[in-house]
Amino acid sequence: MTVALGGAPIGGAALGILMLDARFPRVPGDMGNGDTWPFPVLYEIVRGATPERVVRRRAEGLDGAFLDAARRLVGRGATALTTVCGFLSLFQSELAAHAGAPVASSTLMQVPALDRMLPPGKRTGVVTVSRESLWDDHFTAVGARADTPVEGTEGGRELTRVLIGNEPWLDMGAAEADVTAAARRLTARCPEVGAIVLECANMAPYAAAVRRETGLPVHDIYSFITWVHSGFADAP
Amino acid sequence: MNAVAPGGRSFYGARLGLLARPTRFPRLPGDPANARSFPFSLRYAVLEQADRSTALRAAERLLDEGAEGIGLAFNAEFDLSDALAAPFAGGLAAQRSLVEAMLPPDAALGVLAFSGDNDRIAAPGYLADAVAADEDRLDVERARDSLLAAAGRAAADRPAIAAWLLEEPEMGPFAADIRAATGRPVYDRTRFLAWFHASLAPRAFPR
Repeated sequence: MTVALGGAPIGGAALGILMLDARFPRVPGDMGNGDTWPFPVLYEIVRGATPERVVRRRAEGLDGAFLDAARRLVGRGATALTTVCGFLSLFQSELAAHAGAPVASSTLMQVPALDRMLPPGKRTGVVTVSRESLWDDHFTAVGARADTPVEGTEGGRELTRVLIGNEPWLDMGAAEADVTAAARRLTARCPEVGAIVLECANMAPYAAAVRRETGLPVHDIYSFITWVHSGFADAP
Repeated sequence: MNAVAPGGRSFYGARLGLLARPTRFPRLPGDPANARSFPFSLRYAVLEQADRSTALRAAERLLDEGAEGIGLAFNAEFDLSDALAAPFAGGLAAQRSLVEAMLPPDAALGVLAFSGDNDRIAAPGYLADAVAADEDRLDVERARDSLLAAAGRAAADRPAIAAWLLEEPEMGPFAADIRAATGRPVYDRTRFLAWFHASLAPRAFPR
């Protein structure tokens, strides 16, 4: 006899994604594009969580909105949660405690594992959408070293402006150039960087280009969340 | 995209070099020593002996022949990350830190191994014995039952366990069974290696 376990209104979608309250384009490879995932996901918008407020203003005052949305996702059937912004590492402990489920709030959670895997003298470096906004506690909140080398795309001409400004059009070629240029600056400034983590969940579409141009392993939110999901799936 | 293809190697598209032990035990899908466990090509080196210097020589040869990262298909006391020119996905500490980072503050990670200690839950019985004896036959149902019994006992004893990490590669084929029986996510070496491989070949999304 096979007995099935219920308990939630929706079955089969293990992963719940906490979405920003934003309107910028979400292209294939972005977490907020359903075509990105080879498995079903549940989306929930966190009202008031604009990109500018989450990135530039440390998501101040949004704890309650994130926790409520997390509870709604778990109530609908999600068994693991993630967010669409690497800066939300700040909420990792609170979200996991509140949801009572595994939470992968940020790509930065991969940094401690990667630091253990790299050759002697090598360490993980991060490419972010806003270097000036990524503070020590964004790293230490998930057990990563606060002095992890960082480079940002804010000096570029497309990606940071579109995301933080919540603009309705994105030139993907220009966005890719911003991300690869930041990665090249990172490796030029810090030759000890042996692997790159893309902080921004909107950068996964450009991970292959960063790998090609730097020759370094590139970890993004897509590969991280695919691994998170594999714990709930029959095969990797 | 440049339409001129770069050469310089004997073969391509097998980025992950995986070191395996010289055993006869049946390698089921889900065990990293079964190539069908992965949805991508990889390159195995079967070690004559599972010691550090043999493993290091084999890993260096794989890298020389084009591998871009090295993984282990078995548990080893040694860690090659201090000696290789490429990332090494072999140690258990990296796997542990990745899973533990996700868990609620009061939750525990249940690490299943053939023999237990302070950090590990022992799963003795038929599967452990068959692996230790390196038998070339395995009663799969019996193996599954022996593992599910250990996981069930641990889950009942320690309700704080919120996720499993299967330390033994031979446990990987039963990950989905353990998840179904306990309702907790299950991570293992095969899933860890798939995550690692994704950094060597990030998915190219359509434009």
